[in-house]
Amino acid sequence: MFTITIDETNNIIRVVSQKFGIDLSVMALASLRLKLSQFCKDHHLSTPDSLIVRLLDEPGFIEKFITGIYANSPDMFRDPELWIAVRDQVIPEILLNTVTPQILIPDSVSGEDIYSMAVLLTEAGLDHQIQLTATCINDCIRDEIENKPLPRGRYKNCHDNYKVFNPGSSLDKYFILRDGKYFRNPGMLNMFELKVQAEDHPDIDSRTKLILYRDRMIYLNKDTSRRRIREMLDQSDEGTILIIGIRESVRHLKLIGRIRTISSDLNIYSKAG
Amino acid sequence: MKHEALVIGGSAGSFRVIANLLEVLSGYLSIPVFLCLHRLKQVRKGFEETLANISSLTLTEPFDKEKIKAGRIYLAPANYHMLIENKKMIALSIDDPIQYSRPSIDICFASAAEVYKQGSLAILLSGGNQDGTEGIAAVKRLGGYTIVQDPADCEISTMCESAINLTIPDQILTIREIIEFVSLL
Repeated sequence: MFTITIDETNNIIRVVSQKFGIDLSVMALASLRLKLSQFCKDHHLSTPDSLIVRLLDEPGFIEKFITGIYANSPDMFRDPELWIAVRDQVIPEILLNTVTPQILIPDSVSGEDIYSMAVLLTEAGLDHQIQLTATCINDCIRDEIENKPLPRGRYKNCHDNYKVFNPGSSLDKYFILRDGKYFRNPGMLNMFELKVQAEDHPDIDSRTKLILYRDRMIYLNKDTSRRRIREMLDQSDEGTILIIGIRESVRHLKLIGRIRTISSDLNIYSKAG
Repeated sequence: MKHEALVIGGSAGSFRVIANLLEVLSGYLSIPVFLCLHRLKQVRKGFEETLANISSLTLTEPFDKEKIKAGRIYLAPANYHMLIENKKMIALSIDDPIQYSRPSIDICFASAAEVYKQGSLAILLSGGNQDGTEGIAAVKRLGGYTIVQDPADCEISTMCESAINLTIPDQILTIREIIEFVSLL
């Protein structure tokens, strides 16, 4: 819930920018407020001022703060119908023209989409043929993705989604249960490359045939969303497939003529020539 | 104070009231309506169409960053929180559920309260958990107008009882009275 007002949020944005050079104004204001409020609650900070004091006085707290602000919590195989389409239509299409394509998941803030894709590729027997690469903005987030367990409640959501995606199997075999928490399997983690990379510099090369950028734009303001998508398209080859979140929209991105729609319902596009 | 936005929250037992409310909301309504109802996350289709058929106003599930238009009804999409970014735009979020709920009534109401302040009008209906309690409190605290369905009139009274225990709403009304109130907007 919101415990931080719009004015207080703007003040935090200003302090973080002035003291640490990190621009939080690129984020969507309402969801940033929600995240700030949640972060303060999690760290027992009763006022925005106490947050600012800790940011300024406690070494290393800014990294924790940025990780907390960026980290969202999508469930694995969220929108299972999309994952079914990726498995049955998108992956076969990218394999038509490239022998060893790359799938890129930029700006990762939690590992669920990456791990879902790793499971999908494993089950399709394509884990050695398709390079799975993801990027994130700092080591804290990388550490969270690689080492943080899924709480039991969230795992249940992931499992429910997975049962729609693959009714005949179980997600349990991809996790190690320890102290009531679900840890990702180290063998599966080795399947993908997770790079720390500045947010403004997507690493797209000619092997990149699929960019999974789901539910990232909902946390960014309109201008930043537009810029991110345009940068990725600029660096992509014609035909590269772009998937965004099911309730995200390309309408405000002004991309007429730059993308072709593969599925408007699932928000799957490809770069036009 | 003139109302600038109507936010309605409900859960178990609220569908009949919602259907009645949508019937009386007229095409002359000059404010946006935000509808936050608990629903099954895996059922993405059908609910929107059902409600849209009842309403004479345009009812849609918004996309992230969709423009807000007066006289439209925005139904929070399944498995997303719906927030009011500013008076012009809706924002969605996939943050963790609140009170086991996504969409969360608390989040929708509180974000509307912060943006519309005294101009927000919030109505909380029947439901089986405590979501909406903090949302009604936020609307009230920021000067908005609050209506809670009379618990004795609810199919499931938990949600409205919880809200009333924390905040004294401006009005506690039966279904019939809520419909009458809304028909005069």
